[in-house]
Amino acid sequence: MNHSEIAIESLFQIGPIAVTNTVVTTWAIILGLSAFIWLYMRHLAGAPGKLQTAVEAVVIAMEDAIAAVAPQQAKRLLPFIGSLWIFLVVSNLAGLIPGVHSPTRDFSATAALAILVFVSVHWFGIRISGLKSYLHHYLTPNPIMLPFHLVSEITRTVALAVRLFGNIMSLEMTALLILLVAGFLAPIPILLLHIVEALVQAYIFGMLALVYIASGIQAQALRQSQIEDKHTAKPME
Amino acid sequence: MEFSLSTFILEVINFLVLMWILKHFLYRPVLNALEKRRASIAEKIKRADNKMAEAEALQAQYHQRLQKWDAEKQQLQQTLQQELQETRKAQMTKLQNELAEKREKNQVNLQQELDQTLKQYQSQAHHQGAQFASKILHKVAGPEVEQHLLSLLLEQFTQLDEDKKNRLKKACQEASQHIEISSAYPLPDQQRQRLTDALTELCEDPVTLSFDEDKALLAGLRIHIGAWSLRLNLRDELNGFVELDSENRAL
Repeated sequence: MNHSEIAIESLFQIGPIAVTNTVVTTWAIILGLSAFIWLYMRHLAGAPGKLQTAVEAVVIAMEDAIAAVAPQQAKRLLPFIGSLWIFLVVSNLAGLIPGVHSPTRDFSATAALAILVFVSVHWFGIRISGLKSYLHHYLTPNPIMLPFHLVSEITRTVALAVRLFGNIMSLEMTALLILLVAGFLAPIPILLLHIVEALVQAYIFGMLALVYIASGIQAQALRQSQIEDKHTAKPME
Repeated sequence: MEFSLSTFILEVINFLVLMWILKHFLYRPVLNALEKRRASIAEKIKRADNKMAEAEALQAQYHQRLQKWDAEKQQLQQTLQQELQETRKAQMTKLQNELAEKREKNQVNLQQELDQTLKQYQSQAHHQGAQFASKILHKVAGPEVEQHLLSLLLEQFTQLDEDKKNRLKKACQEASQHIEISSAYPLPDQQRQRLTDALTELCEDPVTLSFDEDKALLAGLRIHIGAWSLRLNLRDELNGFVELDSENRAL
């Protein structure tokens, strides 16, 4: 087993920034998706064809999935969560192409996505609820819960990054090991499992990100409704 | 598990770029297209609903109009029925009147035909009776019958009323007391004398009589006093039947 088969290689350097094969693969994915979108947009019509129907079905399915968790914020969350799903599906499946590695087998990439999720939770929470109201939710139901909330924020972000990285990296490594031990065509069942795992992991990552964002938003909404209930209940006393 | 800060930063930037691209070139156009399609469908549904409402309103209107037409039709039918009944009644009355008139006319015609037939039969009966009587009288005619007829004539002279007597007397005077007497058989002198006496008494003046024979009389006499003619013979009696029949026919 060659070390370069598993290791993240630095292909070239742009000043202090080292460009690895993960970044190049990600660029290739972005270019591929952009090309697809460009082609798709050229054929966008009032009466949709098969491709347009398929793309619309994907977009609607993602919007519906988001709406099932955060009904009022579906349109606002779609670009972030939808992009996560699309990028992760394509990235995870990229490993199936011979000579190409999934960007998500690189912890730096999954950590970047996890950090983006972490930031987006606060970003959406603050934008929707306001800074004070959002920060206040760390003190609910009791200020004693603040450390637990903080630990939770960190651990779940780390868990997101490690889970995706671990799964995809282990799949690639397994396939590589089987290829080395058993020979050509032997890793095909593992590659099939790779497909399933890639889709499942993309779904899990995106869904967890959605749940985290939605919980941040809805915790504030719940608190506001409780406050309103208290205010309306007081005159009755 | 290596961590590269440059990869981390580049991946963050890459994802943000990808998200921007997808947001601006995929989600937004697709969602806009879907929104347009939904709006178009909603518009079509709205138009269809409006058309449906219009159709229902038109249906209701047509239904009302149909009901109105039905009511008008019914009323017109009733009016027509009434008019038909009245017309039928009038026509029936007229027809009955015409039938009654025709029936009456027919009855009159029938009666006339019956009368005519009856008259015809009567005429035939008279004619046949006259023929029969003529045949019998031809056989029974003779001087004795003529003598009886003369006696009968003389008896009738005595039974004449004053008016007739005066007129006969006047006729005698106009005929210069000349009287012509025809008989079927030669009158014996005795009978001539009786006749002369009776006529002299009737005319109240002596009269001159001239006698002649006329076999066509069969039996009896025909007396001409000027314009007057006294007939008591079988021929004239038979002719009397024929004249009576002719008079009846003329009537």
